[in-house]
Amino acid sequence: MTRTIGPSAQLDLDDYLSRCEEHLDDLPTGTRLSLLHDINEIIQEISTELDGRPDDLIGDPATFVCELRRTSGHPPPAEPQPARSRSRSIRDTVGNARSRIEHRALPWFLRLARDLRPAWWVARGIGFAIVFDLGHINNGNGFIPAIAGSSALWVAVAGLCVFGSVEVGRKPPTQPWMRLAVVAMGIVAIGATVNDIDNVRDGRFEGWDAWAASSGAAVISGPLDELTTPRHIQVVDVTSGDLVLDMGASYYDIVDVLEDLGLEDATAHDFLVSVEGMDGPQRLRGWEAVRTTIVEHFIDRMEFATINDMGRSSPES
Amino acid sequence: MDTTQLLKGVLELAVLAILDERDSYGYAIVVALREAGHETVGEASVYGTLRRLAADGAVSTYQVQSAHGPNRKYHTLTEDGIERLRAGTKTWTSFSQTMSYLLREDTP
Repeated sequence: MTRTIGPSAQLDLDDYLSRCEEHLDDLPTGTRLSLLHDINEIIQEISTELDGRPDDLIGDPATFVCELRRTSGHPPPAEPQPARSRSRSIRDTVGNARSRIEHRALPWFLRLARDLRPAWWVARGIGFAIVFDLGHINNGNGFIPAIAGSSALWVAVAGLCVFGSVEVGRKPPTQPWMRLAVVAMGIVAIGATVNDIDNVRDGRFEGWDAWAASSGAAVISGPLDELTTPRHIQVVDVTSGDLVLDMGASYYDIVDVLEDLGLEDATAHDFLVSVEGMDGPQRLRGWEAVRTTIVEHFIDRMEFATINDMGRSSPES
Repeated sequence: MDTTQLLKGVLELAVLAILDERDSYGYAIVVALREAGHETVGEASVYGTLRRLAADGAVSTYQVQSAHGPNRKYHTLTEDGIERLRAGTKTWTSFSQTMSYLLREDTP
């Protein structure tokens, strides 16, 4: 049976080697590296014969290194000097700090990373599932159209992604190209998650309007400007996932759309002026009211199938 | 008497003797020593001895592909190693004869 060293065993090995290095730092660099190289080989050689962590296989690093140094003809570890010059003291302090980072902090982080790997596997799966819905979040169309607007289906897809991610994490692929693919998937998952968080923070995706959803459409308010005014209004047909309205939300855009919808100029103007005079959350609610009015009229008067983009073509009345 | 201390003095000779029989790798030498009765011999002692013998030119190494994992580093005696084994054997034989003689004389 061929044994290969897994990620967990590699971490144990790195940890053990770093602890060995503490007992070699008085030796010249070449000798130190040569001994570390040998210790690495020894552990790997013994690991092919026996199971266990390096500490179990060859004992604690201090004893092992001390014996290895003695039998291989190197001087024993230097005793600490009681009196030190100032420059030596600074050098030692810097060296100790470096050593603590290399031998304690770094292994600690490596162990922490190893312990958190299952959480990362789950997060990676969810992140990757977001990819399938990313188009929907950004412009109303999911990469898998049926997912758009269907929470149950998205949860099912997310579940599959999490399952796959955990399985890949538990049994890492051995082929280099597959490992590369797993790394790429991780990067895509992180990118999708960051994009999603960014969208939510910007207010680009404010959620579905219940009343619109019940009437066959869903409304996504556009990205908000610094005055919490939507810069864009989008309407999605829930049943097909199609983007049926995608328009600018500036004052003039709104006036044009209200006129197209047959509202009298004065009504539209009064409505907009009342919103313009509002601040903060009140203003946001005002704009939502404008948006609601537009979408209500839009849904009442238009056939989804005949209208694709109110911002580019005038609807038939 | 603690045989561990005794073995320290002759470990190099024991390793050379094992390699004289056949080329071997570090862990196999550890196992051979333990099977021969030196159960307490440590891996560090054997690997350290091999490292010193290699540095002295008494053994050379070569890699052998292993079906069980990474390549194994096999050790083989050089001419210097064979000579060192011969000299060590002579010294040990003389030493052990002397000790045997002394112990026979002194033991009641």
